[in-house]
Amino acid sequence: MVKIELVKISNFILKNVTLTIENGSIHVVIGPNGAGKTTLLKVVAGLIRYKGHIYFNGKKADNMPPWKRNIGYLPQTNALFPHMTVLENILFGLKNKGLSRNEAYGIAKYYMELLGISHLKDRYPLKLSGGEQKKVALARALAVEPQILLLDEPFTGLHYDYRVFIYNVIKKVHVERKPTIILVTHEIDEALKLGEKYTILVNGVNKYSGGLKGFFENANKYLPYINAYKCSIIGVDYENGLCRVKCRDFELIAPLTSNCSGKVIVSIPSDKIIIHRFSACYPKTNCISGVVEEIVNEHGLEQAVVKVGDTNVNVLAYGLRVGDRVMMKFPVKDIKIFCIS
Amino acid sequence: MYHIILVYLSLSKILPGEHKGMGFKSIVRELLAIVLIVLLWKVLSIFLSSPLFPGPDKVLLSLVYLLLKEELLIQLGITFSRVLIGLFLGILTGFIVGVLVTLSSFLRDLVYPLIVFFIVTPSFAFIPLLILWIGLNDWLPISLVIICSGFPIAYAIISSSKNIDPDIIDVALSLGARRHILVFKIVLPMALTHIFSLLKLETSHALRLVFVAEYLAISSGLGYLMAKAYSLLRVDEILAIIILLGFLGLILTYALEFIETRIMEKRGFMRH
Repeated sequence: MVKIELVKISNFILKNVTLTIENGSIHVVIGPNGAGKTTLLKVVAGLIRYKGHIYFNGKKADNMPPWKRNIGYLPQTNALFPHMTVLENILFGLKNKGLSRNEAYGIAKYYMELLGISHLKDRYPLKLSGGEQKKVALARALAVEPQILLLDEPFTGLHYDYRVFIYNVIKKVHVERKPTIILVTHEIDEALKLGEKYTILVNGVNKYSGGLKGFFENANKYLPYINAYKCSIIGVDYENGLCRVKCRDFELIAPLTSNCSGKVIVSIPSDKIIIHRFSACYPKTNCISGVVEEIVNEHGLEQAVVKVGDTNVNVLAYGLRVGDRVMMKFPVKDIKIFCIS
Repeated sequence: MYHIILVYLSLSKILPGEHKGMGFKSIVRELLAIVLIVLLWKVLSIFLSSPLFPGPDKVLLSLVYLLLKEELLIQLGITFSRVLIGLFLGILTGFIVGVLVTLSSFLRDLVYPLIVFFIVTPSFAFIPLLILWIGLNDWLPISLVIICSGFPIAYAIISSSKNIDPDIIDVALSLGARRHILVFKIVLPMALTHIFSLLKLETSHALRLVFVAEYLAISSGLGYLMAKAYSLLRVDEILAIIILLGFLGLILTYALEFIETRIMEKRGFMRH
């Protein structure tokens, strides 16, 4: 287990990032595209130049080469070695550690079984599907049994089944071996399910680091593609798997996705909210009206901030202008509920 | 012409449907094209009726006659062996230089400009210098081929190392790979595609260089036979040697294609 401290890290993307990642924790780094999330991982891995200092368990690690850092790195692109079979890919790191052939093969076999890819061991990456490639890349990163596991968007572009499977593997490995995990994502669902601590990174700046409560307070402010509200469950329809939640300025019908009661976090991505400009919204369930207060441009994507009472709702702008009155439809299937506890 | 054939061979592997191999229809079409060209050639030769434009039948007779004479096969063997020895030594030298430069940034700064210098300088410009230094013997065409194939191979290895997906390098480093492991286990195997493409071009280049050196300076090889045919104004023999040279180039290219396909299949670079 390693406690990671980043002190005033700067380079071509990151700006004075100071961050502490507790040993054995799962730390989620979330932020829009181009925020510097991948760069942050590469800094920890020692793969990129930076100013500032990194400490592993209190010891300065700035001059430690990547191969001595005991890390497992899963890049967003998987980066499988195309000229090696699945087994050879997984054995690569183990051989570099100087393990004997039998020992290395035993570990590789365990992780191939854990990820359900034993039957693919003689295949080359070009002959694998996207989900299978992700599993192989994860097996390769886990096989070296790292103290620090760096996961860059491990769920992006995967089918639901694969996401759940990979989520369960990460959870299992974390429970069994307790590596320090830094999980980079821009998807809130997995971030909330896995994370213990959160960092919001925007334009290379660390906007927030801490627990779940503060995360939600900052998410709406800094992550315009996310809407997250603190609400209360006020009614449950077990037969249809639905519940009624009351947030500060509106009420919603949401799917009953977990067993929590009382205070919950309700989240919906901004691109899932349907905009009706002329107050026609049918059926009326989850229709909320508001006024466009601001238009923000994030990396070429225009987002509108709609004011409903004192609550801000982020939606895709689609030609909206400041002052427009709009009706917003929150589709029930796209709403997620998370227990605050 | 030779490059058109190479491009055709490369495209036939890339274009959809073509990878399934030569079907009966495509073989018939290709044979038909050859027959049409030969027919057109024959018609033109009858129409022109000049000793400088012999018909295909006459060229074929000359080719058979030359092949029956032991001399042609011997000269063919000499040219072929010069190309092969030159290529072998060139590839070996290029490989060693390329690997050393990839392993050491100090060497890269030292040798890289020299490699680029040899690549951009026209190969034929070295002929007079090598005649004076080496003399008129077998080593003249061989050393020409070494210079002109070795440096591009070294360049291919160096540039491939720069073109590899940075994520792959990052993952290898994070998995404990030192520089030499990175070069031998990641960079070189991944540079194979690049090296083979270049090798196919260099093979044709080597054949051209050997031929020109033989034509200009050496009294053996197909180039020498061509010079002799030219001095006797034997257009039929000139055409017969051209056809032979074309076939020699085709054999070399097909052999390389075969080796490339086998290695790429074995190394997982081919989807089918």
